[in-house]
Formats: sequence, structure tokens, C-alpha cells
Amino acid sequence: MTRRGQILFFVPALALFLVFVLIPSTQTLIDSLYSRQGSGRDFVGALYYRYALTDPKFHQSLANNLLYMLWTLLFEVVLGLALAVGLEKATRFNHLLRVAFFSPAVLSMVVVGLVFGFLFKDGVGVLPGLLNERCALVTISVISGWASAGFFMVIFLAGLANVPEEVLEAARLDGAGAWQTFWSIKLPLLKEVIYVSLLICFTGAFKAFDLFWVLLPNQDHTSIVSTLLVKEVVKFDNQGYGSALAVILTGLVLFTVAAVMGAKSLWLRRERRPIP
Amino acid sequence: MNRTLNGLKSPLKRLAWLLLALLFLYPMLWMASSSFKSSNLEIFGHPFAVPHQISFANYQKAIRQGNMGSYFINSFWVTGLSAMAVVCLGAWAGFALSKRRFPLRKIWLGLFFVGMILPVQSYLIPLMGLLESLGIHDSLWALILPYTAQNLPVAIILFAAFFASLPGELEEAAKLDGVGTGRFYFSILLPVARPAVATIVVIACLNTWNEFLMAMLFIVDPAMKTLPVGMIAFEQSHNTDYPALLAGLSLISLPMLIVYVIFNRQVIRGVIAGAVK
Repeated sequence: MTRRGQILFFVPALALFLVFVLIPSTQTLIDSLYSRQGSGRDFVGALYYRYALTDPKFHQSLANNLLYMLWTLLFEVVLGLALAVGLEKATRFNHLLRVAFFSPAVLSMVVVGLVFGFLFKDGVGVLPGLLNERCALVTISVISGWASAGFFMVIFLAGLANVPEEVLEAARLDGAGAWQTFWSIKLPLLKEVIYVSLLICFTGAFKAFDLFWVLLPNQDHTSIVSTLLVKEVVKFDNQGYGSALAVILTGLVLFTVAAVMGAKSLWLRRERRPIP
Repeated sequence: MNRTLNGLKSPLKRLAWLLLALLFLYPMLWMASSSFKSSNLEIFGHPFAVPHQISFANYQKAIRQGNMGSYFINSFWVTGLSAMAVVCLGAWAGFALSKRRFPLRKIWLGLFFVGMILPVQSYLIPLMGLLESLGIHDSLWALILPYTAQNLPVAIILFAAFFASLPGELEEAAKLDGVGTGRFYFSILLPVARPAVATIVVIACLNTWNEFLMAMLFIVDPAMKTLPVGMIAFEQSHNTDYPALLAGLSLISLPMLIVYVIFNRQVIRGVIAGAVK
């Protein structure tokens, strides 16, 4: 293929990506430094970032994001791992169960939010009270777990399928129990998949939006950074602050990715070091 | 003694798993069964009972009053066109980037990797203004183009890896036989890439069919809404008619569940590839 042909193949995708993703992302960064009044705009520097530092709504939202992250680690990743280990054997019965556990993952989060909204709504709901100030965040995390545990189960099942049969056989001959086999053989071999799951779970906690917006659109106690920024832009027409929050959110996601990948390479290096 | 215990343990274990699976399926079953009930009173008076009689009146109401038909068609076009564009453009670019000597190859791949990580929120706000100045706001293009751009990075990276894994002799042989690049690409490469195409289609469809945030912000015209946003509109206008609402929710969940059950293997493979990439 000629160089020119290659470039012709490449340019349409690059153009779309630049126009609709990369340039707008840069624009967000620039917009966060300006205050918009009517048709004009004033450069305000880091004003909106300094404001975020003192904004109790932002503090609450960020705290909720971090709590949600920990809860989803339990209800999505740990539960998904447990399901995968329990349904590892490829029998027909297990296959049917896997389908059942994964099926909520194809639902729209809007549907999930509305259905659980009816079930938990105060007044008319079947199980009222679960969305009150004290436990709404845990309830939302459990719903997320219901919707996504099957997704993580699928990833872990793919990882478990790569555990060599001979290793398990050897462990069995050595008299290792199920629990011991899990801790000292399967889990270390799943390391790669665990990193991927943590990456998806942690970044997903920052990207979350639909469920929070649909279930409790106007509550401060379940505000997260992504709902706060949409509110600032749509309801208060505060594009500058909204953009600053978007930049902070993006920074948190990129930092999380770097941290998980860094931890992974550090861990791998430590393992490769020869034993003295 | 031990043997009998083990013999008992297995059916008990199975029963426990079965109950857990039912617990997972229950919210969906509740949604479906309530959608057949005749009134709010029947739903909330006897929430866990089966409906007195099966009637599709609620479904008719959801389709007629809820504009479900038009939302469905919009979602269909948006998802279909964007998935097609992701596959075509992604495969072209991935093919180009699979060539070792493509100019600045590493930089482009790094850029698409970053694009894959970026959350929607990082480009969401300026997109509203951009779509307006392009004159395509409140049309289906306001969703098709951003969705395509959003899913391209994954597609390009997966396709580049896939094409790079193919033996180089394939193209050499085609060249010796006098097959042009275009024909080589369309009649040799794409058929070989069918598994990769299936994976990308699954990823793109799952990501776009259920997308809510952009669809909510970019579309105001009720005639242009997609299913998730349309559902919210329906909820706001009919928030006292629960049976009709649940019928609508069941209706929009059905296509994805059917696709998943039929194409189970492809969906699972797509999910894994999209996650692990």
C-alpha cells in the first residue's frame, strides 16, 4: 500500500476524533479559565479552581464519588469475582446461571434507575426509605452492583479460563482445599485481570452519572462531581465553573489510570527481582 | 457419613445458586409482571402478586401516548449508523496504523489511547456549542457524530492490533497477483477480520443504544429523542400511570435482552475484548 493510500485511510477517523473529542477537551480546559457574561468573556485564571476548593457542594460530591468507588469495589468487583469462582465449571447449569447474572448488564441505566425508583420511592414504593439521606449512597451502590457484577464475572471467568489445568491438578494432588487453591493459585494468576477490573471500577466510579441523575436528581446528599457539573452548566448557566469541574473530573480519571498502571508495573518489577 | 453429607451438599448448593439467580432476575421479572397489571392499585396493593389477567393494553398505551415508536426508530438509526461508521472508519485507520512505517505511528496510537480513557464529561460542554454552530443540534447527527468519535479509539486500537497480527505475506501475495490496495482491503482483509468486526459492533452498540447523558443534553426536540431520554420524558408526563410506564420500560429493555440471549457468545467476547484491550 502506498504511503498516500495509508494516509487517506487514516484521515477520516482522525478528523472525527479531533473535531468531536480532542479539540472540545482542550476547549473545556480553556473555558475553565474564563467567566462568561452575556456575549463577552473575561479571563479569570484559576478562580473557578480556587472556588471549587471552598465549595461545600463540590466537597460533598467528591466524597460521595470516593465512597461510591469503595462500595462498588465490593458490590461489583468482589461480588463478580465470587460469582466467577463459583460458576467456573463449564456445566450447562452454570452456563444458565451466568446468563442470569450478566443479563442486567445489558439494561439501560435509565431503565434500572426508574424501576428501582418505583420500588424504593417514599409513599408509593414497595420498599420505601432506602433512598433517604442516610443510606441512599449504599442503595445506589447495591443497584450498581446488581447491574454490573455480571460484567466483572465475565471478565474474571475469561481470566480463570487461562489458569492452566496442570497447575490445578498438581494442587489437587498435593491435597490443597478449594479455599487454599483460590488464595494461593488462582488469585495470583488472575493478577492481570484484577488490575483491569480495578481500572474499570475506579474510573467508572468517577464517570457514573445516569443512575444518580435518574434516581435522585435534586438531592445534595447524593450529588457526585458529574451530576454537579451538569447542574452548574444546565441549571445555572455557569459554563466556567462547570468546565473547571469537568477538568477536575478528567484529571481524577487520568490520575486513577496512572496510579493503577503504576502500581501494576511496580508490583511486577518487585516480583521479577531475583531472590538474594 | 461423609459421603451422604456430600451427596446432600451438592443439591443444596445448587438450590442456593438458583435462589441467588432468581434474586438477580427478580427486578426484571417484577417490571415485566407489573407491566401487565390493570392499575396502580394492583401494582402497589399487591406488589409481589402475579397479574390478574394478561392484557397488552398498557403496551398499546405506551406505544401510542409515549411515542415509543418514534424513539425506537431514532435509537435504531443512531445506533446503526454510528456502529457502521465506527467499523468502517476504525478498520481503515486501524489498517493504516498496523503498518510499522506509518508516519508518527506511536504518537497516534498514544493519542487514541488517551481518547479511550477520557470521560465524556471532558468534552461534553463545548460539544453543545459546537453542534449548534455546525447547525446539526437537535438532529440525529448531533448524536451519531459524537458517538462515532467516542467509540473510534477502541475500534482503531483493536483493529490495529488485529491487522498487525496477520502475516505480512498476505499483502505481498496479493500484490504479486496484481490485486490493488482497495480490492485487497475489501475482498481479502475485511472478510478475514470478521471476528474483530463482530467485537467492535457489540462494543459500539452497547455503548450507544443505552447512552443517556449526551442524548439528554444535545436533543430538545421531542421528535428526535432516543429511547433512554424518551423514557424520562414519558415518565415525567405519565408519572402516575405506573403500568403503562413499566410496559414502556419492558419494551425498551427487550431488544437488548433478546440480542444478548441470541448472540451470547459474540456479546461476551465483545465485552471481554472491550474491557481488556
